[in-house]
Amino acid sequence: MENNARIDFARFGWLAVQYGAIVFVARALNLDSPLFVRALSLCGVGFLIHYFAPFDLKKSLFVLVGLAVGWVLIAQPDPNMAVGVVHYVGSAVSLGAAIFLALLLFGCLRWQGPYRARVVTIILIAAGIAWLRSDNSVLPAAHWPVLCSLFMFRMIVYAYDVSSARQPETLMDFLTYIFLPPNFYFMLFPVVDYTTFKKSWYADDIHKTAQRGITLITRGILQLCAYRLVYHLLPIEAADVRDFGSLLHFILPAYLMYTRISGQFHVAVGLLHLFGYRLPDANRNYLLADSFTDFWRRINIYWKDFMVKVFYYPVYFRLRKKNERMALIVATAVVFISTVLLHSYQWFWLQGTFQVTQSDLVFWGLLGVLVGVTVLRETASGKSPAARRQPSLPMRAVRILGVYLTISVLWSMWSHGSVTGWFDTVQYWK
Amino acid sequence: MPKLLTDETLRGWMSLAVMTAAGAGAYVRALPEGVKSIIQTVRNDGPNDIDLDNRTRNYYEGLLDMDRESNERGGLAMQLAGFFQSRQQLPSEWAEQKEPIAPEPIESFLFRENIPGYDGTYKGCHFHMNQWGQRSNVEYTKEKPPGVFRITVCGGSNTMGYGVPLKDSFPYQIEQRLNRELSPKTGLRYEVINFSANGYHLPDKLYMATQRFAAFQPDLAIVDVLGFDLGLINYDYLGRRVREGRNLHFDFLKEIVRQAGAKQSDKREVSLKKLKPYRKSLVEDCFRELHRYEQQSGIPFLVLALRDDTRGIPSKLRWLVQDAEKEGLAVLPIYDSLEGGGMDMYVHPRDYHYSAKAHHLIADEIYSKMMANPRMAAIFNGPTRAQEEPPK
Repeated sequence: MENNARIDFARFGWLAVQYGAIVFVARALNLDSPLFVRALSLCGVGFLIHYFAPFDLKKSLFVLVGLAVGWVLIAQPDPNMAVGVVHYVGSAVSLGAAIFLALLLFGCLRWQGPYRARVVTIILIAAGIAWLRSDNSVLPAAHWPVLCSLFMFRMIVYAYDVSSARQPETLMDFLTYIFLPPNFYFMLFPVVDYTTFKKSWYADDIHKTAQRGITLITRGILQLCAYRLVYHLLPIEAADVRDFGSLLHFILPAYLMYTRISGQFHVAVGLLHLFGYRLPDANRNYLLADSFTDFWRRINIYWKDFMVKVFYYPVYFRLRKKNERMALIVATAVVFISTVLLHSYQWFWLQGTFQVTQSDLVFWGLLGVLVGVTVLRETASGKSPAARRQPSLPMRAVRILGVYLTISVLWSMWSHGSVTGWFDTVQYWK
Repeated sequence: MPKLLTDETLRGWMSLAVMTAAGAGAYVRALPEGVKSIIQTVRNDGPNDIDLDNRTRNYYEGLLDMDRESNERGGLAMQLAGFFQSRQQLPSEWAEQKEPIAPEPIESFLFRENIPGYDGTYKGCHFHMNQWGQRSNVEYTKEKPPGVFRITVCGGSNTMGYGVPLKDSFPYQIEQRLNRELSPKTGLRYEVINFSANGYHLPDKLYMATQRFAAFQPDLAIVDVLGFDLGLINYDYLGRRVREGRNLHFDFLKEIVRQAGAKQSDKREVSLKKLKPYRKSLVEDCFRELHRYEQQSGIPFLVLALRDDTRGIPSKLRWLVQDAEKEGLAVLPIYDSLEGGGMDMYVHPRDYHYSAKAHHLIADEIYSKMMANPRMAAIFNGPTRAQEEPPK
């Protein structure tokens, strides 16, 4: 592992040039938000320090880089120096609270008591935090979403992985997993898997890993540019839907808005590569999905893996001896019900209120049915996806178009906010 | 397949080179218009036209911008908050502060009006309404005192001064400046009476101008317009009036509703579709009605076209200016104050009402343009003064 961290000035220099170009592009094209360039710059400085640091110190330095990025990003600079100082003190206090919480949660899970008791303790602590979050007590309202986004999903994954761990996890691994530097900017963050995260650290030569990171960041930046073009040039108002052509114009761009999230996820995962974590892609050509299961596997891969690991497999393996078909149906249903609830859970931690809308239920419900039916059809054929005969190119194009159209319709309904309002909109003949 | 297309790293380098060139293009003036336009679109981190009109956004947009609730729960179109991404949330105490505005009964044309005598804090600022529901510490008499030049103003929340103290609001600033600079020359005292209220759009302002102004005997009446007067609020509020069975008051509104076939039983989306094609004629009719009233009442009117977008002059606002001029109204486009400004022009990164700084700049621009405008100069220095001067 240490061999993969060897210093090579020339290769590092080339990586630094590319990263500099990325920061320049983000700044020149004013991408994502005014804080984005600052986040990239801070991570760039972190990369520089981390690259040249002794191997033994790299993990602790990674945590320090995370905290430093968080400290600067959470504090809002102010032209009035005294106010600026107050903001930085406030930011430090909030980070102090986050560190305290991390140590508390780690201590609970490290405790030698029964696993269920440990989980109940964690849930009680989360309930207490939720109570404070609901009215933004103790910490400034603006700091809550950032701090909540650090823990909200990764704690679930970590607690799950602890249950099957052969040896106790170390505090340093836990802290590196929680205080990920890009997470302080991207509050919607891919649900990184703990085991994968740990295994991926310096699993390959740092220059190869960092180069892959640069490629992913570039892909993300490209998608953020595409998002701006889609956002400004394509959508039309619901009131402009008057015929079939305008209906298509209304529906088709809705799903393309996801390029912003996929772009952000690529950048976030790419940034982790700079620190030696060679992680899987967060999204993979999701616009080219040719079936609903394929779509589910390609879009937000980290979420799919999280659902499969924590919800699908436990249900499926428990039920499959009784009835495999039933196990598939129930496990898929559990995944989509959990997805609705966890989206609301996410909304709560980031926004402070629970929200499950009619649109959420219909969107995830229909998507669950489509994926479930496709899974059943695939398993009925009795062949693995790899063994199945690949469709001809024209057939594949038709299937891709069909999936794209269906997802666009669902996404446009989801984006509209009101299911009945959406139906009133699309019935242009009325 | 060439290696450049199949190798992930090479593809990344190629993409990065293209984007670096595009980034450099942002600093180069001599580029074809098409390329410049694409780069400008990519650089634009502001809302698109639809979001400016406060349309719903998807789940992720909501989470990223943290404004879904205000959109989905029927927030007003004028609430521009949240479109520029920021980590800042609105101060929590703002949510607990009671707005100085109350809903109007269903038979009224207006949806809401300022609460007369309100005294409290809203959006972190002290608000005091006089007995007429005007934001002022002065209890004006309806009868204009001798030696007073009176200006009545009606606009929306920006003109009311949402988010800033009274002393910073631009109508108050203009009053101060008139008394400081013009009063010594004319011997008159100037009063600017602010009838503005949060959520007022063009038909509301027209209603206030034609129904409330005259009682206060103004020498000049001002109505503001912003880009959103041509946006969603324009036809959405008319549809809402129809659906709620409100008094439409103006014949031209009744005619638009008749032509559009809008009915009380229509759902919101249906009434939006029916009424949107009439949004321009609605504005044209409002300006025509205002000009007709100007001629009938003898009160000179001035339309202030206020820019609220730091990134550029909205095309909607330019259209509004042209149309008001076409209908014969005096118009002052206030385009310069926000030029080159940033977030410092707004009260909060998530609340896009004018900041105190913006109010001061706008007041200066209005004052200087008013004094340079021959039509306005004639009003300020003309017959009114002779009428109002006490006999020697």
